[in-house]
Amino acid sequence: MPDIKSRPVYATLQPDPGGQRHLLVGQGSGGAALVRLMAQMPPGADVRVLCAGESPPGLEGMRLFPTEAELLAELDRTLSECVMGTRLYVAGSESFLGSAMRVALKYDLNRDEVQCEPCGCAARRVYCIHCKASNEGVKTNIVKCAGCGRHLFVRDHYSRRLAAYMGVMADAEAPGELPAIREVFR
Amino acid sequence: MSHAAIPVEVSAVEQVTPLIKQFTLAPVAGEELPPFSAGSHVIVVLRRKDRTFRNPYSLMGSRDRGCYRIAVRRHDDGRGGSLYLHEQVRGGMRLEISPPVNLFPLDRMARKHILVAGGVGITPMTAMIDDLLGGQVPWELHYVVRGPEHDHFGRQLLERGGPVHLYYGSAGLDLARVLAGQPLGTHVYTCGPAGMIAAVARAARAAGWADSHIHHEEFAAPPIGHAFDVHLARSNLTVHVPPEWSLLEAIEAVGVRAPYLCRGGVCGECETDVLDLEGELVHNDHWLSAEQKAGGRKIMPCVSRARCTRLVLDR
Repeated sequence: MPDIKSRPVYATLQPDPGGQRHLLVGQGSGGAALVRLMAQMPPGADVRVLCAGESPPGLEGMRLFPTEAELLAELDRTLSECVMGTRLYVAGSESFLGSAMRVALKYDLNRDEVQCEPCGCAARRVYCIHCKASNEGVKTNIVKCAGCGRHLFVRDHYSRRLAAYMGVMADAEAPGELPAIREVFR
Repeated sequence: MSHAAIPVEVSAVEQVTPLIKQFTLAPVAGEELPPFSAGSHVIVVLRRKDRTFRNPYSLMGSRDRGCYRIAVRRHDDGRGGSLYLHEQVRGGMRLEISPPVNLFPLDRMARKHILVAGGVGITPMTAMIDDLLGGQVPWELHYVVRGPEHDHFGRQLLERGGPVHLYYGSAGLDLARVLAGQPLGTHVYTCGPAGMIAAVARAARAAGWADSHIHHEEFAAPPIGHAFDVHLARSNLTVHVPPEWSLLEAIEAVGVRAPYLCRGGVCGECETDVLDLEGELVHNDHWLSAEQKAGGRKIMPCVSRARCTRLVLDR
C-alpha cells in the first residue's frame, strides 16, 4: 500500500478466475500489458478488448478508437450494459488509468473488480484547489496553473472522483519563493 | 466502548406469527430515542431473577422514529433470552437498551439492491425498504417463510407495494436466477439462517460477483457448551463459565468491564488475547480468520468458549 491512502493501488494485470466476463481496456503503451494478459486468459473466456493509441496491439476482436476520449465514451457505454460478474482490466498512462477508474466508479466497480497497471508515462493530472482547473501531463514537482497562473505544489493526495492529484499554491506564505523545479513524474 | 443504557417502556406486544412476537419500545418521560439508519441493531438488556441477558435485535422500519420496534423469534432450546421476552415481558414494563449500532448498512454507492431474508431475518430489511421505497435506486426483496401462518411481515410488505417476492419454503427461491443478469453495481444483502446466508454467497460467487457486493448479517446466539474456568490476568480474577452462559456474560457478572458492540460474533469489538491455554478453544464467531482460529491466540468472548483445564485471558 502507498503511504498516502488516497493514492491508487496498481498491480500487474492477472486474470481473475472469479469473474465471468472480462473487459480489457488499453491506451498508449498499455497495449503490451493487454497482450500479456490475453495470453494468460483461460481458453474460451468471455473477453472484450477496447484500445486507443498510435501503436495498438494486434489482438483478435479488439475494437480500436482514434482518441482516448472516444475510448472512454465507449467504456462508459459498455459498462452501462454489463452485468454483475464482469471484471475490468486497465493498462496505460497513470492519467488514463485515473480517467478509466472515474468511469468505473460511476458503475460502482470496486477494488476487487478492477485491476490497473501503469504503463508508460507517469505524468500527473493536477487539480488546482484554488481555481479548479485541471492541468494535464504534469511532470514537475511545481507547475504553473493553466487556469489562474499560481505556482502549484503537486501533492500525492489523489481524488478518485476528479481522477487528479491536488495542486496547492506553493508560494502563498512568501510570494515568489519557490523550491527548485525538477522533473519527478516521468 | 460506551454502553450508556437508554430506558424504554414496552408500549405494545403482539404475537405476529406462531414463533415471533413484535415488541414496540417507547421512550420514557419525554426523552427521545436516537435516530438510526436502516440495518441497525440494539442490545436489549433482560434482567431475569438469576441472570442478565444482553441480546442483539435489529430495529425494524425506520419511518416511525418515535418508537423502536423489534421482532423476536422464540427459541425453546436456547439459553433463555428469547423465552424471557416471550413469556415475561409485557406491555408497560421497563427495559434497557443500548444506543443503535449499524453493522449491516445499505451500500450508498449501489446501483441496485437485492434483499434476501428468511424468517425473522426480515427485521432489518423492513427498515431498509422504508428507505428504498422513497428513493431512486431499484431494489427487490426475496422473503422465505415456512408457510402461510408465518407470513405476517411478508403480507405487510406486499400490501405496501414494491418488488416483494414471498416464498413458502426455500425450494421456490431460485438464487441463480435471481442473481443472474443483474446490472453492474448491484449489492445483495442476506439475513436469515446460516444455510441461507451461505447459499446466497455461493450463488453470487458462482455468478462471478466480487465479495465487496455480498453482505449478510447473522447474529450467532452464544451456543450452550461445556463449563470451564477462565483466569483474567489483568483483573487477577478466576471466573467459572457455566454451560448456558457466554464467556462475556461470565466476565461481566464478576464486575469486569469488557468491550463489546454486537454480542453476536460479528463486529470484532470484543476480540481478546489468549495468554495461556490447556485444551482447545471453541470458536463460534464470524470475525476471526481461519488462521487466527487455528492459532489459538485470539478469542471472541461474546460467542466463543473453550473445552479446557486452563484458560488465561488478557483482560
